[in-house]
Amino acid sequence: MIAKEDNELVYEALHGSRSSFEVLIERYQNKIYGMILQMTNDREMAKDLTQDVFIKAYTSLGKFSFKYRFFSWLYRIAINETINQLKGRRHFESIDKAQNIAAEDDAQKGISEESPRLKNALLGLKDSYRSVILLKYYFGLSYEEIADAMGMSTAKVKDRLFNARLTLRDKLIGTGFFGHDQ
Amino acid sequence: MINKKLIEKIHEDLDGKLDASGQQELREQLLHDREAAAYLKDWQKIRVSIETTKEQTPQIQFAKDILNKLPMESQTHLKPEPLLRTSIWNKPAFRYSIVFIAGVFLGFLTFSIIMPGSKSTKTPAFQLKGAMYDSRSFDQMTTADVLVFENPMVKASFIVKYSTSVVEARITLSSLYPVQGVLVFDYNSLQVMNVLNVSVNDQSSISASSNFVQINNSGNNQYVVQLINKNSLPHQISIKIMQNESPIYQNAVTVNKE
Repeated sequence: MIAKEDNELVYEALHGSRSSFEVLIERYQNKIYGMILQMTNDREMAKDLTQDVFIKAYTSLGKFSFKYRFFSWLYRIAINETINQLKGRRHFESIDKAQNIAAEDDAQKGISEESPRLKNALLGLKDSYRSVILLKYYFGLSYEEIADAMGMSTAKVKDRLFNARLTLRDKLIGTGFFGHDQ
Repeated sequence: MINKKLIEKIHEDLDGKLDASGQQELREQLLHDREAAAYLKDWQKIRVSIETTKEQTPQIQFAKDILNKLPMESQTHLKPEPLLRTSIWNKPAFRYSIVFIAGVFLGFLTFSIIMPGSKSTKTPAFQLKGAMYDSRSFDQMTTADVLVFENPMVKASFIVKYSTSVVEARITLSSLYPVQGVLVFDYNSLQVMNVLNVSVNDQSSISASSNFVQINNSGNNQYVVQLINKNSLPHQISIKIMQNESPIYQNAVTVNKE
C-alpha cells in the first residue's frame, strides 16, 4: 500500500478522520520527541511536550496552510512550545539537571566523555541558536525547511546558523572536547 | 578571525555540497589559513559527536495516549488557537500607535461635544438606511434554501435566508486545492451590503462587485455575504463553484418566494 502524503492526511483529519491524524503522529512522534529531548535534555518534559505538540497541532489544524509542509509546521509548534516551556524554568537549574542526566545516561551506556560535553555546550546556547543547530544537524533539514519551521527567511537562517556554529565551537573550546585545547 | 565566506565553504564541504573543483580550491585556501584549517578539524569532530548522539535517542510510542487526549468534536468545529504566543500587543510600536489613535479620537470627541453649535441631528431610527444590520437576526429570517455539495476534493454549503430588507448567505467552503465560489444576482434587485471573512486563512479571500461576489478558497473557511433586498419581488441568486475555471457545481436560490 502506498503511504499517503502528509497533506492528504491533514485534509482527512480536518474532515474528522482521527485515524489519519494517528498516522501523522506515528510518522513524526520520534522525530519531535528526539528534537525536544535534545533541546531540554529532560525525558519527562520531552514526553509531555511531545504530546502537547500533537494536541496543539490537532486543535490548530484549521490554521494549517497547505502551501507549507506539515512536518515544518509541526517543528515550528515544537520549537515554540519548547522555548516557552524552557523560559519557565530557571536557566541554571535546567543546565545543572541536564548535566546530571546527560552524565548518568552516558555513563550507563559507556559512551565517550565527548557526548556530555557536546550536550552541555548545546544546552548553553541561546534557544534560537540551539534550535537551528538541532534542525540542521540532528534532523538534516535544508535551509528552506528550517526557514519554514522557524518562520523566518532563508537568509536569516544562514546568518543565525553561522553565529550558532561559531558560538558552539567557542563553548566547546576549553572543555577538552577537541583534545587540543586543554 | 576567519573569513565568513570561507566558513560557509567549509560547511558546504562538510555537507558534501562542494564539487571537486570547489574542494580543491578549499584545500588550497586552508593551506594558507591555519585558523580556518583548525575550524574545519573541530567541526569534523563536532559532527561525528552529533552523529553518535543521534543514534542514542530512544524510540517512543505515544500515538494512543495522544489520541485519547484529543478533543472529541469534529476537527472542523474546533476553534484553532493562535500558533505564536507573542502577542502583537507586546510590540511597543503597536501599543504607542493605539494610545496615540485613542488620544486623537478622544480629543476629537471632546472637541465635538464642547464646541458650540455642534448640535447633533437626531434622525429617527426608521429613517436610517444601510449599515448597522444585526447579523443575529439571521435566525429569524426566512430560509430560501440550503445547498450542500460534496466531492472528494471539495465540500461546500450555502445557507441563504432573507427578510424584507436583507438577504444573507452563510457559506462554508472546504477544499484541498484552490476553488472559486461565485454568487451572481441582478443589481436592480439586490445590492451588496457587506461581505465578511468569518474564519478565513491567508490563501483565501472574498470580494464583491455590483452584481456578483467572488470567493477564492483554499482550505477550510467560512464566509458571510449580506445583500440589501431592494424590493419584495422574487429574485434568483445563481451559485457556482469553479475549479481551474471550469464549473464543478451550479445551482440557484430564489429569495422573496412569498
